[in-house]
Amino acid sequence: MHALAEQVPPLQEDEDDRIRAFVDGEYRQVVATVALVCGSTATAEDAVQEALARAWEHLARGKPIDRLPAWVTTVAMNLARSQMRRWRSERRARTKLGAARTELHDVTGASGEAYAVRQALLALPRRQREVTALRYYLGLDVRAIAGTLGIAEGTVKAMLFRARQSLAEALEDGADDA
Amino acid sequence: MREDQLERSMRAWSPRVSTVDVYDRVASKRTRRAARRRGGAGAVAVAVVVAISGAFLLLRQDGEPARIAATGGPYETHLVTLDPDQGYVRGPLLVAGGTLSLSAYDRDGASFTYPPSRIVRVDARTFAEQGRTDLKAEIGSLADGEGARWAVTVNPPPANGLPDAFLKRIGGDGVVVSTLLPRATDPVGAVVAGAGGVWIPVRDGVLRFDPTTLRLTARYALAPADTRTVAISKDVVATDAGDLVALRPDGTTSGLCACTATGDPVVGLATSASGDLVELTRNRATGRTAVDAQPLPRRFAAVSLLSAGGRVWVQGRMNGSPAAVLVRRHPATVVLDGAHDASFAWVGDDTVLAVADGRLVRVDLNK
Repeated sequence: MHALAEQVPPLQEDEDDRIRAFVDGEYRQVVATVALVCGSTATAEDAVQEALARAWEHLARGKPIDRLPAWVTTVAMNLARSQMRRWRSERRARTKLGAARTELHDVTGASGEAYAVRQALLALPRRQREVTALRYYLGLDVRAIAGTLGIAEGTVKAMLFRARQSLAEALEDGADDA
Repeated sequence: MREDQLERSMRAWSPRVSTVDVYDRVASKRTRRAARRRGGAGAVAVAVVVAISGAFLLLRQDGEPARIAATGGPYETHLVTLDPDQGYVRGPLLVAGGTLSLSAYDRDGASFTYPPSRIVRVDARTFAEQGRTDLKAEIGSLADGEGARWAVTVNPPPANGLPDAFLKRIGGDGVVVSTLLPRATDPVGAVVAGAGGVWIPVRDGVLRFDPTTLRLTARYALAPADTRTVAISKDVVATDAGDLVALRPDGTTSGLCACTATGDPVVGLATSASGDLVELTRNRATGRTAVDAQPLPRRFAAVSLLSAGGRVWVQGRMNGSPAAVLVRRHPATVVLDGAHDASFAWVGDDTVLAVADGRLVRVDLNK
């Protein structure tokens, strides 16, 4: 029985299976990471789904993706960034026209200390926000973050240091206010 | 700020992210991207493709069929307009005696909302309404037998725990009698009525209810599973971790020989016209599925095996789109390209009815 099992060829995992496994596995965490960076869960969900569709096409054309979660995270962050940029432009245009301000951030699921941290995170420069979310939410190490964002490891370390400083200051200020 | 404190605070924030229909939405985005590349996205918002023996048919948004390829003969699909409009229609579908029962909800954009919900019965040929049953919750599965129609409905999910689920008995006079399933029950398969009971597959076994009193009369403990099927043949049989078990009237179970040619795990069951069991199996090594040892198309990912009126078909996905394989001498594969929320019912030798994106579609295989 054991010898027979060894002769069986390994499971041929196709792209459909990989997409399905991602949805069942890492999807929620990647959406949360992108949401932390862009400030909107809905935008993050749409961006991750679009990134997954692109990954699917990529795989179907026979192009390999070694680490699907990292690939999807990178593409989704870029898509979310573009979307938020478009919305900011539209918001500026509406503001000029005197329209009511539209709140870009949703706060679903945020409360207490976590809410304060998230708000402080959203005040960080974009790159610092990205490295912080990848490090402390997705749990990537410095090398993986550098690979995902296409920047040097030293830059990642510097950004993490500055982000922690900024977050500490922001949260202490918040505590004083309370 | 300490690293562990930062990490803890960030992880304490957890957005409510659902994975329901995500795969379908991703498949749809992929289809739209492909359509845009072909330059036809503007003209084809919803595309229904029927593929049988290499022939394809495209249903345009305006409802007019447009053949994009046809080898072996032309085939046609039609959007069916129900009169009166029933809102957003979806599965589960139930075919019994020339009548199609489908679930219907109020439309909410491209999706649906409930309460209320309803089961609508239409003539499977003329689509004339034959009756409707008003309900409140989401309709999980339908069955016909033991002198009534049956539905398992599920309330919206609460913040914590499992939603309440109900068994509904719909009498011939339209009167609905309801019973709450035991708390923390998780239905994972279609309700079945027959052999003196109403059988509900749940995650950790099968529940049997008395069809007259609606009292729970037996709880069969089986290996936990995400999907489970019960079928009635000479015995009442359920899938159990790839094996089959007979559910005895006294509340006990006994193992059965699946007797498949390959020895592969059984992942679905149905009953043939002669009353024999039909088995859907999945090969452990390749993942490829087969019905009674006849392999299904290589790219077809089977989800469930269904039967009605002696016809047997398999629902699943083909290249990310909803699809059904009709099990017959020359199997036919029907693919609803890029569609969402689809279910199929094989109602005539050459006719398949399907619901997708909240609409009812008729597919004529031999036109």
